[in-house]
Amino acid sequence: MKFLKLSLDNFMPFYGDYHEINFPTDPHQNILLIHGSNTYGKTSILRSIKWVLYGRAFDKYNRQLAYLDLLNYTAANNGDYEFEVIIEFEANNHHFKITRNVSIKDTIQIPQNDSDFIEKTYFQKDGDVLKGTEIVHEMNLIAPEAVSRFFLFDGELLQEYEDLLEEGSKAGMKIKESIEQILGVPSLINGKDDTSYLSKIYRNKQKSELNATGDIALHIESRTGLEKAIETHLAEIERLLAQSSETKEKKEAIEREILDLEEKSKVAEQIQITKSTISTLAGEIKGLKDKRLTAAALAWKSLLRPKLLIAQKESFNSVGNFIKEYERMGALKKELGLLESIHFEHENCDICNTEVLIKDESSYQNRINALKNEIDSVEIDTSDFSKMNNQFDSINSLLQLDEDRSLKDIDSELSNKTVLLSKEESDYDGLKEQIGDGLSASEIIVKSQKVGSYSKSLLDIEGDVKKEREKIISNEKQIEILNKMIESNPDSGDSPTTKYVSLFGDLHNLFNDSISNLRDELKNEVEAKASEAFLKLIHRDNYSALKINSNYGLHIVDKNDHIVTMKSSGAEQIVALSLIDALSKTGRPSGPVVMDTPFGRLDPEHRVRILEYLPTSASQLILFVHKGETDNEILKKISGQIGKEYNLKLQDDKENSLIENIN
Amino acid sequence: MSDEIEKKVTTIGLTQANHDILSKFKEDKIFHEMMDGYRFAIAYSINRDIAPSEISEKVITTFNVGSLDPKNEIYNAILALNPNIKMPVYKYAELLAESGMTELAMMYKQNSRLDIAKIVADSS
Repeated sequence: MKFLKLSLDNFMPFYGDYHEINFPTDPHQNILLIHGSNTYGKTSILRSIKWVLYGRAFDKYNRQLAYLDLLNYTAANNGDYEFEVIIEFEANNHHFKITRNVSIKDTIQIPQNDSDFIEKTYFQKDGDVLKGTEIVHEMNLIAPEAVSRFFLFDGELLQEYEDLLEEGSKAGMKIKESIEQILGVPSLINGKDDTSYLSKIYRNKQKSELNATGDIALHIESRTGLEKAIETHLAEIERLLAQSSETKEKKEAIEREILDLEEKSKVAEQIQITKSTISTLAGEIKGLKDKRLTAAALAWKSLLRPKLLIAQKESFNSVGNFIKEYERMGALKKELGLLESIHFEHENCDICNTEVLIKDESSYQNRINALKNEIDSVEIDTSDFSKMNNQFDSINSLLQLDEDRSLKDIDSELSNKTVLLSKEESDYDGLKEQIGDGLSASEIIVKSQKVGSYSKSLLDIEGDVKKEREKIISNEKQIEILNKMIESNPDSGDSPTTKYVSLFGDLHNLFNDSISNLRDELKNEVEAKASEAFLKLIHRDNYSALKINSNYGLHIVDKNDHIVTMKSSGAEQIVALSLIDALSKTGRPSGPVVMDTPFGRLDPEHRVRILEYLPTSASQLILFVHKGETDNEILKKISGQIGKEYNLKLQDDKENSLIENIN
Repeated sequence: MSDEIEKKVTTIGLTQANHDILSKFKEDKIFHEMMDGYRFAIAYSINRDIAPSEISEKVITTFNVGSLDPKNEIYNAILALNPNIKMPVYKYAELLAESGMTELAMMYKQNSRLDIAKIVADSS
């Protein structure tokens, strides 16, 4: 079996009629990857496949979803109450197309429940439309619904398979029932029932045909009594099974209520955490606002600072210039004083006795005059210096002001915290809405006690059914003995009816033995196939095989033939995947495997191994993955085998999803 | 300027329109006290070199200069930056506050908020 195309119209988060997935058909590139964050519609696609193939889809508690759950919310809001899924696939060299369409009845304005809708299914085989039982027959040949949970499964199911290893666990029992359906060999069971029926008819015929006297009459009377007893036991079994089924339903209903309550309880815890986060954030925001107001009160000083820095520089230069001028004046005065202190002594010439002029005296005088002029031209008021100095000091002290530059940081932190608070408040409202009228812890206890009491009743019923069955087996053995005695009695003669009684009795025993033999064989087959897959998937040398237990669960066996008791959760997941792989191949020919987020607890090494193995085991491998599950390195390793790749996105309205073809 | 003239300026304020805006700043928790916003307006004018002009409207007396500037920081800053000021320093401060508030009010009206952190960040 190979999927070819899936089309969705108004199905769950896929609003409108343009959502399509084309599946890879190349056997060497048979992986289809669908990426998508949580809530973007991965599980809805898986449900759409289940629904179009079998007409039923389930929620995570295995409750069947109503039409209103499957109908797109936006479409319903717009008054469009029609949705449709079409799948095309090929199997056994034929082309199939299933169209499942649901629309509102003409007489209904706004639908309230399933009875307000009409479901139409068109099943085409090579273009011819099939009807009724033909459809069931074809689907049973291609992929029986009972097997579907082994090839259309989500990651959460793995946990259920892991529970199989725990003898008598609740989830394990459910899986066991499903596996029994596959391994239960309906044709042999039908054979057993048919021969039992025929045997009974010929025994009655024998009773009327034989003119019974003596021992034969006694035997026949005893046999009739036993037959009546068997009927009584069968009726009792039927009653017990009906009672069991009713009790199971009640128990499951309460279990679902408990799950809801437990979820509510988790939500209640989350509400408390959110409430406390909101309170902390509100406190922090208030603190930041106060801090901000303090910083705002000092902000004016930060505004003055740049101008004060410029003024500081100018003031510093002015003081410097004044000092330079003052120093220059001092130097001029010093030079003048020095020049004025020079005394020129005049001498007469020894020959002519005239006064001799001293060389450069006039130039000294000129310098003195120049210095005096320069000194007179400069006015230095020391009070200016004092003013300048005061201004410089004043600016310096203003620059020491306790300004606060943290405003921007506070604003940024405030903005972040406000966004966080708003998110938390919105989460809080959402959580409050989820929890509705609240819950009481005692409610869970009372319901749990009821579940315990139902479980006990079921065990009692199971014991009673077993006793009744043992009685039937005992009665049947007695009937078999009586048959032999009647047959061997010379008075019964060579009556063909007697021979038929004997023949159908033997056939009935044969079918009975065959059923248990076939079950054992199939269990061995599952064990062998699962072991084969396991050894290819597991990254440990000291494991040698898997061993099937009475629950159809699998234990790891080491090289010394010992059951491994300490296993990592990753190893358990590999065991579960191996079992799924084996079961999917035991009940049907090779087909596609669709896996929704299957790699939760696996390390990267095992993810790669699984991704390398599964495409060789299945005709197609369809994987729904979210970012956390597979990193790019892992995807690179299988990139050569990826035939198609899609990405799930939110539409602009943020409520609906889109399927985007990316490869 | 003699101390005597200075001493005559004991209260300063804003025109009615700017007073109302300052009051709104307090209401919006931009400033804890109106006085904080008033000082900010003075410093904003100085920072942006806004030339103060005479106030033609009536000024509502709002602040006592002793409370507004208890350590004479505003006084000293104005004097340090305008050593040749020809009017009483606090009178000048009032003109600066009025001009600064007018611009801040405009900003507030345009953006429906006053981002003083940004103003400070842009100031240097």
